[in-house]
Amino acid sequence: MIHLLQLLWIPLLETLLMVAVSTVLSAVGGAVVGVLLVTAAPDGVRPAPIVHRLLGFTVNIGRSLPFIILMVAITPLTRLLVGTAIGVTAAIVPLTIGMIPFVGRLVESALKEVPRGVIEAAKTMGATPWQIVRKVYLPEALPSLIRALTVVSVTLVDYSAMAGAIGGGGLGDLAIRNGYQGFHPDVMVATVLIIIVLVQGLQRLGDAAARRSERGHIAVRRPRRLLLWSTAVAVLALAGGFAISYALHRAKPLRVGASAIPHGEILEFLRPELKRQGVDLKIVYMEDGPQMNSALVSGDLDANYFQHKPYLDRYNLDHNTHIVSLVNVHIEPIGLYPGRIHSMAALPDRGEIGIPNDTVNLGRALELLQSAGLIKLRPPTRASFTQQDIIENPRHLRIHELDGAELPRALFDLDAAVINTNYALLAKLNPVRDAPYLESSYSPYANLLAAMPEKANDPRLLKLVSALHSPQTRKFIIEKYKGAILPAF
Amino acid sequence: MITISEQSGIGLRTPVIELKSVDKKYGTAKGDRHALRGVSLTVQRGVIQGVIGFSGAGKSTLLRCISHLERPESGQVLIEGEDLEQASGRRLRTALGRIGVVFQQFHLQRSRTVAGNIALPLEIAGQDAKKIRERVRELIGWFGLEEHASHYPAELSGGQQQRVAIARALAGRPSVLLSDEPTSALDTETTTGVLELLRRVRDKMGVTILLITHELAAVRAICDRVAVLEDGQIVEEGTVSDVLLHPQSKATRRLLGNSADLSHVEGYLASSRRPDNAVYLRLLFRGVGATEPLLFEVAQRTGVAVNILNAEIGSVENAVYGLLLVELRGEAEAIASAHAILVARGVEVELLEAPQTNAPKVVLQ
Repeated sequence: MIHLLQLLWIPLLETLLMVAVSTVLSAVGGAVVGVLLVTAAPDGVRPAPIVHRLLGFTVNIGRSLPFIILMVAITPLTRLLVGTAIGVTAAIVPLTIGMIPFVGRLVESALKEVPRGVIEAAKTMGATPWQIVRKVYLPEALPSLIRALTVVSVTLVDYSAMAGAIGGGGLGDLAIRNGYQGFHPDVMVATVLIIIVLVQGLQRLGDAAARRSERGHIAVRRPRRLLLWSTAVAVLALAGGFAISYALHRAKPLRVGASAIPHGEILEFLRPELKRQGVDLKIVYMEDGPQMNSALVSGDLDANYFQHKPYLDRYNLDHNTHIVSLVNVHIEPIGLYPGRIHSMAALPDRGEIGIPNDTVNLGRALELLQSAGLIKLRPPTRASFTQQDIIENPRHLRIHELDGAELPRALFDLDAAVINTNYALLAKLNPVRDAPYLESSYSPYANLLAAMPEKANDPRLLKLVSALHSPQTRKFIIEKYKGAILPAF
Repeated sequence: MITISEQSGIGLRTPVIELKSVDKKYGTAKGDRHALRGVSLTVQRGVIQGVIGFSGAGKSTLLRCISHLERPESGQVLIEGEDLEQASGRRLRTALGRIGVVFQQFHLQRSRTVAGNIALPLEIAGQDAKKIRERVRELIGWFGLEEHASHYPAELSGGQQQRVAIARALAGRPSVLLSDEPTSALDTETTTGVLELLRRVRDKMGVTILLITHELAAVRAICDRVAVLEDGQIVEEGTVSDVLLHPQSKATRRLLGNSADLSHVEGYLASSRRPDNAVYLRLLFRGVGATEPLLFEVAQRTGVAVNILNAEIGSVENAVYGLLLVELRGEAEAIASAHAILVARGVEVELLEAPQTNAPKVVLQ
């Protein structure tokens, strides 16, 4: 229980920080957009048809972009604005920008509810457009605006879950990475519960504030305490969030991107030792390979630890980069696991087999299938094999290419699957026991610590390298993974 | 306490509102619709000018043109000699400051208290907080709103809300108050109160009032002059007694209803019971007239048969009047002498309908 709370605490703060800051920023931005949409409209207080049409068009484009795409697409802008493209601060940028068009429309419809006559009354008093906005539109629409803000903050809790894709952390990321992919149902349930409580709290807070602001609107008086209380909570959450973010940034940790298992676990094991040596190791959990490598190039990460040499070579070739391998750490033999059939001997004709869909692991999986005697491949011509290279498939096997992380779950619907060891371990599969066919230990696919060449001599990284190759680490890997993962040194 | 606004350079003889052939069209799907056609109207200082008409006559458009919510296609709108169309920026705001507007639906801000609503025009004019507080307190006292000062509009009755709206319109010391159907959303009793209040505003503050309404009673109650608007045109304009008691246009007669013409007895007139030798007269008695005995006397002395079709007693400009629609039957000579008697007694007589063609010809002097 204590462990669970410790696990949840930082992600909770991260979520609160992301939601609070992006709510405030997108509220300000959205208010500007919404006010312009209303005032510049042909029947607005300051008609500007061209501005209005352009703005409306832009807003519609913004609203039609899926958030997850926007988040990746604006990476350069994010880096320009906050100096980094990963982490909580970086996640706030796409959250805010993605939200502004939505908030703009909400504000627009709230302002349009203000009766025309009230606006005209102000016009007859000689009010300027800005005065009408400030003294009539905004105060008259306040309850609707507060309701809109509530919707926005709740939606942001939802969106912030996707921030995990760029290392933003937060509760949603924890639920996916640790809970779902890591097969920890307790973490998943706890996280979801916290998110539910958070959303309920935000909704109640918003409702209370809206009712409070409705005093004049419905002739009901409410105690002032409610507003004070809710404001206090909001301010505290905001301040706490800022403090955390400040602390996180000040420490200037060594940032290493890693997959959760076993890379993350091995790094976690090293953390106390590194701490003693004065290195604050910050593990940034990511599952997207290309992103972890591009984060090296951009300097958002000091090193990463998730890939093997063939993968890295391929990446350098494709992206014209010069990421170097610092040290081999461990080998995760890829394995063929029976699914529906329980034993490979029972593999039927036209059986269905799942393999990873990324270029390198796909070729690696096909090689394993060949060594298991299931298919025959033509002699290698390119860097890695594809299904086109299969020249013999006597059992008419149907081979499905799936996301590596999904394969353990897909196993229930397949006759067999070739699964990377890290994902197999997450799914509580034991490669030694459960996989009749495993890559031999001389596999070229040793997982390595990678960095940009100019960082190769960073003293903090050198300390990490020697810690990784220490006898303690070797012992840890052998004891913890019982042969499923082997030290590569 | 508050007197006619002392705008420098504006003589008291300058009309407060002057409309010169104002034209306004609205584009609709079926083409342009004329809302106002060549409307000219002059309102002198301190006058309560009514504008009456059926709905769709263009009353509200007229008010919107005067208050600068709409721009006329042609013609001029002068407020104390200043053409709003020519003014812009600061000058326009000053000119608009001379106008206060009261709406049928009040249009108060629900997010502001009574005091806050009254303060709005002063805030817009950029006055300092202390001055605003003083002025608001003064108006709240004047309008008897002390106990509601910190209430919200939603907590007030319609009549109270309209008082607040009037106070708000007067906050910036305008010289003219435009009121668009200010009592149409109110019940009869409240209506009387609001109309009395408007009259008091004119009497004590010297504010000129343009009252737009479709209710004859409102015009009767407080207006000095009235203009009748029909199909975008002013068909009649004059003092209230002139227009109401001697309606010239069809529109006015329709507004006046029973007391003006024979429309309500059309069924009777069309029926076969209608005698051939009848004439129909509209009799107006000024002051308190002993109408019954006079008609009795006419009948006795001339031998005509008198049939009263409609009778109305009312007051306009604080003078009582009686209006009768009567049918006289008899020989032409008898009817002529009956007419002479009525005229001799100071009754204003109007022939509404001549007898049928085969009836004796009546000669009225």
